[in-house]
Amino acid sequence: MRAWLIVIASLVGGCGLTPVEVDVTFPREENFLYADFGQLLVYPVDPAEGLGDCPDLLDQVESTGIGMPVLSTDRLPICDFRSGGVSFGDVPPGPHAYLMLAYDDADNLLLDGCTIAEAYEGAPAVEVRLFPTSDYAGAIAGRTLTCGNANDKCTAGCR
Amino acid sequence: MTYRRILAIALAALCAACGPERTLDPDAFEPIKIGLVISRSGALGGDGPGWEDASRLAALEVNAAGGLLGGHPVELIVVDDETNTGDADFHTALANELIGDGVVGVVGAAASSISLGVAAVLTPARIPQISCCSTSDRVTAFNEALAPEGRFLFRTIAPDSLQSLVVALTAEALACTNVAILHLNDDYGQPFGEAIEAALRADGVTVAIRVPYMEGQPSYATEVGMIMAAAPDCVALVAFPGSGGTILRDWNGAGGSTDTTWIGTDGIRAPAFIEATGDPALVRNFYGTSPITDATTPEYNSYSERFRASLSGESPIPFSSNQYDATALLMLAIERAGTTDGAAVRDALREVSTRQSEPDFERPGELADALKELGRGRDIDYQGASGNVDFDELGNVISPFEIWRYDAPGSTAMCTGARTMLTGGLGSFCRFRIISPEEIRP
Repeated sequence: MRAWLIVIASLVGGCGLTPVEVDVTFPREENFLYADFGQLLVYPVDPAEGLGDCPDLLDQVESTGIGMPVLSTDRLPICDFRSGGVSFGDVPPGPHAYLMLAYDDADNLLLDGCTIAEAYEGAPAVEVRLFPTSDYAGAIAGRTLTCGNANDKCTAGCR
Repeated sequence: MTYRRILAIALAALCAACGPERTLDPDAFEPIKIGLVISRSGALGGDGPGWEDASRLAALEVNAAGGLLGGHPVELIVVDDETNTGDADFHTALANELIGDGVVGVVGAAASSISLGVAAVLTPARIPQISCCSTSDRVTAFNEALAPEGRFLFRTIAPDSLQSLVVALTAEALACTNVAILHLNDDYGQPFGEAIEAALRADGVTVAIRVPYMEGQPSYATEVGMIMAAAPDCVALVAFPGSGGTILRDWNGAGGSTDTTWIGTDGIRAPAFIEATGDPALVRNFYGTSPITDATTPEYNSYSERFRASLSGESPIPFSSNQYDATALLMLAIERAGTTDGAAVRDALREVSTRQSEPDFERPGELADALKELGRGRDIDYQGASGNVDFDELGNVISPFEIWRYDAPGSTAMCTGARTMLTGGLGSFCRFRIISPEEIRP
């Protein structure tokens, strides 16, 4: 009996958290090929402030770092963000900013993107659309891709 | 039923009811729809996809920054105008299709006749519209006929009233003494041809003949014959790429003089024109005028770099920068207005494009910064890839012009200005001379 109560209590305690799937889209395949790592961050936003947090968050991340997200993936191989995306199992309810960063292996921030979405039961997947940063062109200058496509990159390990 | 089973059912019910509910309005993240009137086929079909890409780039940039008005992604709704310049019913149908799709603003068209045909529906519906490429003076006349509060048509390209003066300057620079004018008979070509005639006469140049023609004909042998009979030393040609190519083929086929100097305009400064001739070698002594759409400014260079990085890897085509600016300005105006209401967005278009008090200057590739500044209630003055794009009260902008020269493959002609190499071994366009607005109208 006590075990049942513990199970119920933990479920009730977890009430309000919901899984969220995130799809990351790249402008073109070449952008994906140049990226090596990605990190997905989730920030709370206040609907009373108008849900226009993304530009400030992108600016903050590019200038002073990632700050205090409520959820974050590790910096993962970029292939982990391909096809089906990634998901968080326990996003608190309400609107959040989902911010994706894509780096090369020299730690250059190549692409970023941000989307505001609400976590709720049955919500559609969140789509984060990436765009090259101002450092992109300089970072890829002189680099030669050895991968012809994303499949090769993620299965053959070419770069 | 056992106690344990009742407990299991209660637990299942609890879990089912456990998920958080939606708290925001279901429309909170609905896309904001922007219409694109694009020539995916017809005479401008070779360029349309490149212009569509320019709009896609601006939308990509804004969507990566979280969209507009607090998280609304931008969705582009594209209709193909088929470069069908003569069918007013078709233009009406295009506009109504976009309105039915729920667009809050429109970018396009390229051809002036189509822009005006679409505007005849969009303007009364109070939907802002910005053309990248419609240079006709009839666009100005369309707005002049309306009270300021009724104007919703803009363009990010300088009008032909200025370019016709540049054609006359070009004729003078090329020592033309007897000029024939061959021009489209539509909203682009007719007033342009007439304005060129007036500008030439004002400069004391003889106009041998002015011949209008209709787009989309398989042959222009009759019109070419009329021009040849007038024996001009120069021909001013106001055309689209397809018909321009046919005219040159007909000229060469009819034994037209190889010494004749041609002065084209913005409508044919495109690879599609050279392709349409079927043989670059037929394009001899060919000069032209055009608003400069790929200035070597930091703004254009940034745009070009981002275009290559984010889209096909190719460089943007002519007027791509104007299309990008049109799309960017429309989105910035929506953010500035804080609403998609047409009149508010129209008013905001002037605010984000021109210098306000203590503005922050925002540029291509900086749309996220621009949205941030607007979100803080600050003024911005968008400096476009195609120029400063300051809209006046008639929705026009002013830009510098170029005199260009076509150099066929293998040409050894020197080019002291910027050279645009055409892919596929089609030769190049050389920026022969830059004409500032002050030179046109001192």
